[in-house]
Parts: sequence; C-alpha cells; structure tokens
Amino acid sequence: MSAADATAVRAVTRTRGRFRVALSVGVALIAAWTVVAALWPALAPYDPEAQDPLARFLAPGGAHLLGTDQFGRDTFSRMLAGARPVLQVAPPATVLGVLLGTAIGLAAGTLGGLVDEIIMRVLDAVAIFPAVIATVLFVALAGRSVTVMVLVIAGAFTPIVARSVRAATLVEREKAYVEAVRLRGGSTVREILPNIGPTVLVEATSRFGDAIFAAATLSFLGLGQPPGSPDWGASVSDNRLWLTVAPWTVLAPALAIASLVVGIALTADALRGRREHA
Amino acid sequence: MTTLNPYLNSVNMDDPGNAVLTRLPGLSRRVFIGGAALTALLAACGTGTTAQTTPTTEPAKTPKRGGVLKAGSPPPPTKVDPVTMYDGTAIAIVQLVADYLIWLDKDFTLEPRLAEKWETTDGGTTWTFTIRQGVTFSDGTPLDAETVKASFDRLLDPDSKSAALSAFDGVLKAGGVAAPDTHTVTFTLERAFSDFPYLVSAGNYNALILKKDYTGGGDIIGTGPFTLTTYDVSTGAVFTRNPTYWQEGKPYLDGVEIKFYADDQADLLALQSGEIDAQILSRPQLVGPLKGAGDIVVDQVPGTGLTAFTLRTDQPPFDRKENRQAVAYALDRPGVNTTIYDGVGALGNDHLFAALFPAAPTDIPQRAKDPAKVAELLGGQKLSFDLTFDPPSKDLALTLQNQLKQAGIEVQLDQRTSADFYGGDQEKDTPWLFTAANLVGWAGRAVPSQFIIPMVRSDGVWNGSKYANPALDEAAQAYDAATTEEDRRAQAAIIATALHEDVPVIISVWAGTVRAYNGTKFAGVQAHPASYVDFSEVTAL
Repeated sequence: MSAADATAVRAVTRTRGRFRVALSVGVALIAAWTVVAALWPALAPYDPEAQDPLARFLAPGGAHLLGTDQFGRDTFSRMLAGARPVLQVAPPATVLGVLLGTAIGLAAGTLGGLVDEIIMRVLDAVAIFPAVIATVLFVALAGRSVTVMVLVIAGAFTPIVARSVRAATLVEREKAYVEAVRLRGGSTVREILPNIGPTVLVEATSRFGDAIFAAATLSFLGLGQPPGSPDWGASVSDNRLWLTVAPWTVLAPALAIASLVVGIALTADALRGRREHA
Repeated sequence: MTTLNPYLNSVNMDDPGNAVLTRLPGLSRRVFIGGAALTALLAACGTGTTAQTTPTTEPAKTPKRGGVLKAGSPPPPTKVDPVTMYDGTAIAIVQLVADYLIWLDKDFTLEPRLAEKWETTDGGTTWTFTIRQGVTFSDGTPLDAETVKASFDRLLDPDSKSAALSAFDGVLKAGGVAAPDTHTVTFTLERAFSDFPYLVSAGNYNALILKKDYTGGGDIIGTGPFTLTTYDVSTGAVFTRNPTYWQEGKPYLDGVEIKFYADDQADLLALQSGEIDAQILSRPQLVGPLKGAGDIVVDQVPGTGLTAFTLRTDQPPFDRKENRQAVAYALDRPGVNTTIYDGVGALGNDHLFAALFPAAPTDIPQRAKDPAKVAELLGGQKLSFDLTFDPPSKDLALTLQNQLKQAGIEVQLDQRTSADFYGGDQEKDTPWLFTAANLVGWAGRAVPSQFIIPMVRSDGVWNGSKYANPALDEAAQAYDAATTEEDRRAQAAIIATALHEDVPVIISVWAGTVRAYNGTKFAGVQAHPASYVDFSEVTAL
C-alpha cells in the first residue's frame, strides 16, 4: 500500500469515526428524551401542574433543580413532562408526511409525463401557500387537538418529501435494472423503492427535526396543546414575559427543544454521510 | 390601604438545596449531570424572588421645578378622542391635558377640580354643581357653565358614539343638563341616584370638560396641567407644562413624554434600562418580581376591577346552590391573589362591594377555603364542569382548575378566542353570557351599581348567571335612591348578603393596580385604582 493509499484509508476511517460518534450522540439524545416522555411520572420530582403560591419565581437550586415559574410550578418537572406532548406529535406527523410524500413522489417519478406534471404543479401550489396561515385556518376549522397538529404538520411536509423522492426516483428510473424490469413487464415501483430507501430515511430524519420545531411553534402560537400544558413550545410562550426576571422558565424548555433537535440533526447527518461514503 | 395577605414576604430563597438528590432516585447519572449543568447555567441567569419593600411614592418635601418624565405605554388601538376612548393609554394622554369636574382619588374619595362644590336638594334627582371661576383653557378660552353643559351634552348625544352612554344609561339622558348662569350647572336625572357625583367624576373617564367647539379627534385643548405638543400614532406623545394651569405652582415638571411600546416585555425592558422613567399601565405579575430590585419602585393600590367567575343558576350543575357554594369554599383566595395579582389585590367575598366603595358591608365573614365544608355541600356527589374563558383569563383559569382539583372538583378548560367568547347573539348564545361557568373580566367601576344592575339584577343586560332574586332587585333600586348613609348601608347589606349566600358569581379577588417607576429620578408617581394619571405633583429628584 502506497503512502497516498494509507492517507486515504486513514481519512475514510476518521470520517467514519466521526459519523459513528455523531450517530451515537444523536441516538442517545433521542433515546433519552423518548425515555423521559414515557417515564416522566416516575422521574419528575413534582406534579408538573401543581401550583404553589409560596414558591413563585424561585431561582434554580434548592428544592427546585431548575427553579419555578409564575405559578410556583417546578420547571424541571414541567421540562420532563413537556417531552411527551412533543413526541406525541412529531413522530406520527413525520411518518404520515413521509409516507404520503413517498407515495406521491414515487408515483410522479415512475409514471412521468402528464401525471408527473399535474402532481408537481399541485404540490407547487400547496407549497407556496403560507404554512402559518394554512395552519391557523385549519385549526380554526377543525379545532385544537393532537390529531389536528399531526395532520397540519404532515400536510406541510408531504410536498417537500414528494419532491426529494421524485428526484431520486427519476435517477433510479434511468438505470439498467429498472429498464430490465420494465422489459420483462415487472413492477418498476417494487424495484425502485428499496433503492431510494436511504433517501427516504434521510428525509424522514430531517423532517423529524422540523416536526419538533413545528410542534413547538404551533404550541408557542397557542394553536397546539391546551392551556397549561407543559409542552415546551407553550412553556416558552407562556414564560417569555418573565424572561428578564425568571429566565430559567424560558431557557429550560428552549434548551430541551434544542437538545432534541440537535440529536435528530446529528443522527440525520450521520446517516446521510454514511450513505454518501458507502 | 393595605391588603392582608399571608403569602407575601414568605418566600425563602435560602432553602437548603441538597434535598433534591433524595427526590430524584430514578435519574440516571447522565441525566443528572446534564440537569446539574443546566441548573448551574440557569442559576447564573437568575436573580430569584426578592423580599418586597414598601414603595416610596410621596412627593418630595421640597418640589423641584423642571425635568421631563418619560413614560411607556402600549399604543392606543383607536383614535385618541376623549368622547369615544376606552383604552388606558388614550385615557392617560387626555388626562394630562384635560380636567374633570371632580377627580376620583386613589382611595375613592371625590376631590373637587373644575367643580368647587355640588349638592342635591330633592333626594338625589336634581344635582347642582358650582363651577370654579377664573379657570381658562390652555389657549386662553375661559371656562364657564355653558362649556360644562356642552361637554355633557356631547357625551349624552346618542349619535356621538360616546363611550360614556352606558354609564349614564337609566340615570341621565340628553336634555338633562342645564346652565342657569355662568357658574352653575344642574343635572336633572331620570331617577334618584345618590352616587351621581361619581358619574361626572374621573370615575366615568370620558366625562372630561372640553371646549364648546370640540368636534372629535384632532387638537385636544383642556384645562389640565400639560398641553399636548406633538402626537404620533406609532411613537408617542409629547407634553409641555400648561403655564395657565389653574392650580398655582403646578405642575412641577417641564413636560411629559409618553412612548409607545407594542408589548409589555419591551415596555418593562425600557424601564429597567432607563429609557423610560415610569410605566402608565404596569402589570402586577410582571413588575412584582422587580420590587426592591435596583432603582425601580412599584406603587400599588387596591382597585375595583374584577374577574367574575359566573355560574349559571338556571341549569345543571349550578342550579343547585350547594354546588355553587362548594366551588366558592374550595378556593384559596390568598393563593389566587398572590399568583394572579402578585398580592396586590384585595380578597373578594362573593358580593359586588369592594372595600373601596363607601357603603361596603364589613360584617359578612370572609369566605375562606374549607375542604370539609366542600365535602358536606357536595354530599358525596361528584362535581365536574366546563369553564369557558378567553385568553386574558387564562392564568386565572389554570389556577382555579388547580385549586378545585385539590378539592375533588373537576374542571375542563374551554379557552376561546376573545372574538368567539364575546361574539354570538347576546340574547341567546354568546359564550360569556350563556355557558355553564365562565370567567369575565370587568374593568373597575366608580360605583357598585355599575356592577350590580347589569350583572346580577334579574333584568340585567349582562346577567350571565341568570340569577333572579326579587329581594335583590328591590334593594338595588333602593340603594341608588337612598338619601342617607344609614339607608344606603342597609340596602348594601341586603344585596351583599344575598349574593354571598346564593353565589351566582364568585369574586375571589378585587384586582389592585400598580405603577412602576424609577425612584431615584422622580418622586410622586402614584398608582391609581383605575390606572389614571395625575402627574401634576410629580417632581424630579
């Protein structure tokens, strides 16, 4: 092995090592918050809804690890409990958006021609409609619930996923193995789907991070969870008025959102990098 | 006036912190270390709750002439017109340049301003006001009785869109004001009304005395301590001292600037940074944590604003009186006061007489949290209901839900938009008048009748509880017509006792008001029960 080859091997090894670390950290963060979402009643030191007028705006430390808010509620317990509403919305919204987007993108890419043209123009029309206005309208019509949040976020993701899947499908469609399947009269979709799997996976992880933000944003705008929910977005919204006197009430949920999104981003980047290097 | 509140001054910031370790047996090391790091970060950001201090709001002993007070306030939502205005900023702007016949002091006593004196000679149906002589508007026009008459004729004109029409409804109508000579104005009422001076005082904030040729909007010229120099709808207003102000030697300030801030947080930050010296409309919850910290002084006074927890008495579950009483006994009122009003309010006793009202009964025992009584009243039955409200009442709704849950009463929160909550048909389905239980914010009133007649009289236009009690109706009528203090107190006792016993509305706390300002730069800035402004005695330090 020449020196250049050895250098190249070391570079690849280093890169793979970085991906492995990123993937480990990302998965650990996601797993940690998933466990918290499932088991917060056992982990939280206080009832996240319980108010204590004697303990308003206590700074972090003492009996309250992350302080208390304007109702005297324990910020740490609310941060833990807030994982559940977010993770009740983001994963199903991501799955639904990715499934719909994949189906539409695959259909447009494989069928081509007029069908492709119509589907893409419809998706263009959907994509240019301002998401916030669409959301407000939808929530106003359908009411506020977890189901509505899931549908709204999935609806926003579908055109994005469909575009990526269509692009990947168009690349695969021109390959010899697809041509062979077509000549023998087989299902091209069945052949293409496994080969665009990595694209769908990367798309899903990227959208998952966006879904966390979207769920938090809807709650921040008062379009998501019911009043008093420990949801992170709602907590940031409710407490922002006290940012100068009790910053911990905003920082705790904000950092929780950030940590989960960072975990998802690390996972997505690692998966994308491994695929590109494969 | 001081509100007794066991929750004040009781927060101990020095609690031992190690107990948290024993409270978190399920935490993994990683989560705990992360939490500890976060704690350290957050602790570095925080100042925590500080002990409350007594604000110093008295004017300086030797007033200093000069200086400009900069005050922050939200931009007015509509045109600043004394006749149609209803928001706090517009009211403040106009109160700096115009005056009332009578000022409503912060303890609800009436202070003569443009009226030197007033009296009734026939038991409260005809009122005669003597107008102060020698007063001129800032442009030199003299004040006379005809000017005062024109001001009230304008307010009583059904076509004027006057915001004061509802206050005068059933008491005084167009044509009821006369000016028999240059310094006397008479009001002939539709019925005897012993509290009438309050309706022509600042308590009815539109009742400002304006020039005869005032036609709405534009230049506002008054007899007040300042003159309006510039007004910009997006940035604010600038005022300079009125050199012809009738109170000799006042105001002490050279001028006032009101700057507009679109949100409360920006207003508060401006105060903290020194960009402004005072707030016009401080929120107790926001400025409460600043008490005693740095240069900020927070003055506070009790008020007459309230959020009525209305219970429909004509349908389940609140057609059963015991259920209404159970809810009332389940509430921790000092807790509501501390959590929602930062302890500034005064405890309510489920009747509509705030302690500020002169005839308020004092012998009805204060209702307090009593879990045993709740259990007895419910008689083993489970109580569960929907509570409907709009966003301004969200925090109170959460607190009530939390407190009632502790008493075993289940509350489902039904938050609507304000447009939805106050929308619909007022005769049959608007949520604020037709839901089983709801929270309705009522701005402070100068006289209790302004609550009693619309809210709980059987024919009240805003009777959301559908309460009907002929004895109360009769007493409400008699209260307004009472000619002696003794008679008025007797009628007030009948009304208050009926409301306290029947609980069509729960008044857990009477909202107090606060005003925050920089105590190292100015003295004499005071809170007012209705957030009114009188900066004529403010002095720079």
